[in-house]
Amino acid sequence: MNRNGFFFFFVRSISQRKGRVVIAALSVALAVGIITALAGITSGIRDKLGAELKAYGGNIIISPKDAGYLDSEVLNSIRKLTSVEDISGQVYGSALVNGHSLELLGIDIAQIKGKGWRLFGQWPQSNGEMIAGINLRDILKIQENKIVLIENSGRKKEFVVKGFIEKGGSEDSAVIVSIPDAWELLGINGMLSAVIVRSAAGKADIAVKEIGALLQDASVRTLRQVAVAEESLLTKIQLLMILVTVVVLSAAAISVGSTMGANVLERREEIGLMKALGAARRQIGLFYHTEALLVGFSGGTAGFILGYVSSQAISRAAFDSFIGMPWYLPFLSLITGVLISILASHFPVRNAMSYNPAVILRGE
Amino acid sequence: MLFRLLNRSFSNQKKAMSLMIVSVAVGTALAASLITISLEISGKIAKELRSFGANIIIEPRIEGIADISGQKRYLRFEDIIKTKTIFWRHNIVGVAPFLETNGQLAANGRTEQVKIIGAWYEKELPLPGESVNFIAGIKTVSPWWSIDGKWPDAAGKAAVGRALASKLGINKGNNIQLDGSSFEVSAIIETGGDEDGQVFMDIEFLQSFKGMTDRVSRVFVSALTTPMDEFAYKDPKTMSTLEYEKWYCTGYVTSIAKQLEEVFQGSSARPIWQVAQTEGKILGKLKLLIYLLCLIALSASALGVSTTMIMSLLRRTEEIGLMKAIGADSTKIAVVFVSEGALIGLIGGVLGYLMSIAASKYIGMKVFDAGLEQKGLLMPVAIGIALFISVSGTILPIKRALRIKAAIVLKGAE
Repeated sequence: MNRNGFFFFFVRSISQRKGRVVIAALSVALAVGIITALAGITSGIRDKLGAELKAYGGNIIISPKDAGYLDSEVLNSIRKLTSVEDISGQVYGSALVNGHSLELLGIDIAQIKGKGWRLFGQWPQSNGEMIAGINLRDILKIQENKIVLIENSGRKKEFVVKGFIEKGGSEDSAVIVSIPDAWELLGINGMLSAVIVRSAAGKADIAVKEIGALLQDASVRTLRQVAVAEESLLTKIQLLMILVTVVVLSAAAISVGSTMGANVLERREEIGLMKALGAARRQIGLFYHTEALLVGFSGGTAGFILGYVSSQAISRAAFDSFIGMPWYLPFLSLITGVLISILASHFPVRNAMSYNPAVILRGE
Repeated sequence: MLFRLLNRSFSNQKKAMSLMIVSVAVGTALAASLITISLEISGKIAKELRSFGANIIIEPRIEGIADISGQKRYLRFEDIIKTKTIFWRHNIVGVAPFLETNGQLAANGRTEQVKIIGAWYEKELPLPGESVNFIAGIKTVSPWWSIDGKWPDAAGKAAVGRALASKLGINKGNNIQLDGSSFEVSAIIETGGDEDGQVFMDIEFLQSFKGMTDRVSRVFVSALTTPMDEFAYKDPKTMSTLEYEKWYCTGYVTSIAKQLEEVFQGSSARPIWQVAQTEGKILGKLKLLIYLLCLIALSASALGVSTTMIMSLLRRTEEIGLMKAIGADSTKIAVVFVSEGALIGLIGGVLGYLMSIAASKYIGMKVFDAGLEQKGLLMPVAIGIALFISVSGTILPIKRALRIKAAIVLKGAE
């Protein structure tokens, strides 16, 4: 069979059996689509969940080695590290309110909104406004929008109480003000008692090392509570996704295999005819593998688009944001499509070629 | 006649039939295991999220200003077991009491003022009226604590935080002096938090050592909760009786805290919001994610099986032509194919259900260290899905078959 003959058979074969080729390509597209969607989500889920877990707060705490303070300049230098996602400073001190000694906490209030607190009332909008721990509401008998005088070593400032917070920690009995207000009250301009860092997903160890190298005289510790729990949760979810992918993959493989297999088997007559016309085994193999390649390629492309769109739809619904796509995903999809398509037709073709053309053509 | 046709068609095309059965079985197995996973996932992930630590803290109620800076108040030790008597007792998965005291630590010729904390690590508490003991202690609420050595569970033993140990040059097995008494260091503890600078011992021993019998500073509780919704954020004080009842009997972190407060004398129980809030959010998102994935995988596998069925039936054009030629009408042909599909669906469905038991058990063990429980109701559902898929897969070929002209087909020119 010459090249023209090959081409003739090929075009005829596909155009005469449009329906079946389309079904085969469709089943490849389905398989590839599922794999693409699952692979995309599995690879992106770490980032997405990591972002959700932000609310657990920082996973690294930096404090001065000896009793003392950190210069607030360190915030800027740490923020430049790529392994650091979020950073905020805190100032601790004591305050005298109505003659009672209370804990004073200076924080960047914009940073903590909606992160693990329950607020009764409003968030402070500017300096000179404060929130109080929930326990103080009953004890100090203070109310929202009332003015209280806070003192520390002779320094005094009046504050408007905007609300009360409940956290389930020592903050519940503390007075909380903005960092500049805390500096003013404590007389320690530009100093921080501790810095809380949230590292980028999976980069806690790198961040600890980099910060440690940057700040020689501070102690940098990983908060095991956040770090350990996050890692174990993320690992489990990813493992679950991978196992589900494998199960789905095996189902998809069988579906493609049976479709392609049926496709070839029913064409034993065609193979017999080609043999009778003098085609070599190699040529027949090439013929069917080219067809499988075409089916795999078109199915793979359609499957990639299908899978990508559905993974984005899922991410959108579950996490309100699009999922990043690893650069290799399009290639992975195409290669998977071509591979399963060729593999699925390889064995039936080999099987069909072993028949005697005379027997097949007689219709037995 | 129908039976003979079916029998013939199964025995004559063993390969094609077994292929269809396998593909229906795999599709059904996939569907059934995905349904099991999505039914069970919520509870499993909720449990998993508990590894983030306690979500409720119980402390002595502060009454009046004297308490903040003056005299200390304590909870009663005997109330601890009452955590397992509240309405939502089965949701309590961890309880850890702590007693906080101050003391003087002397080691290697240096002395230091330290906090001495009494706690349990893993303590079996007998529950009145139940055969299974309840495990309490740090392990149940703070699994992230790293303990190098053995938790001090006997008299004369103590554990030291990592930072304090390295500051004073204390190693495991050393002897230290606490308030003049000698203790053997049985473990070094690391958490990354304040605990790294503290000394630990068994809570009951510390109570007798410090003469603070029956005293507890705070109790951490880890509870499985219903995610907070808008209703849960209402102030219970402003609720109507009916609303209050609904709130009280729903497993919100706030209502469980309220119930704990009621059984601990003189206490104030508060949700640890950092943990409680995030937990609800993540649980909701993960659940949605798994549901959507299952839905997509399900519809894809249904389509996949249908294509297999269609392809297999399309091969039998000649057979249909022959049937028509010897006088079968459209209904008869349809009956043959539909009952064939139903038989395949039945066999495939049962096989698939059995496969799914193994699959979901394996996935459960691998991911959550506990098999996913298969609901009994799933069997009819699985077989129903299989029947639906395989029978619906016959519709297209039958439609086509009815258009077939017997003479043309039998001549061999399609």
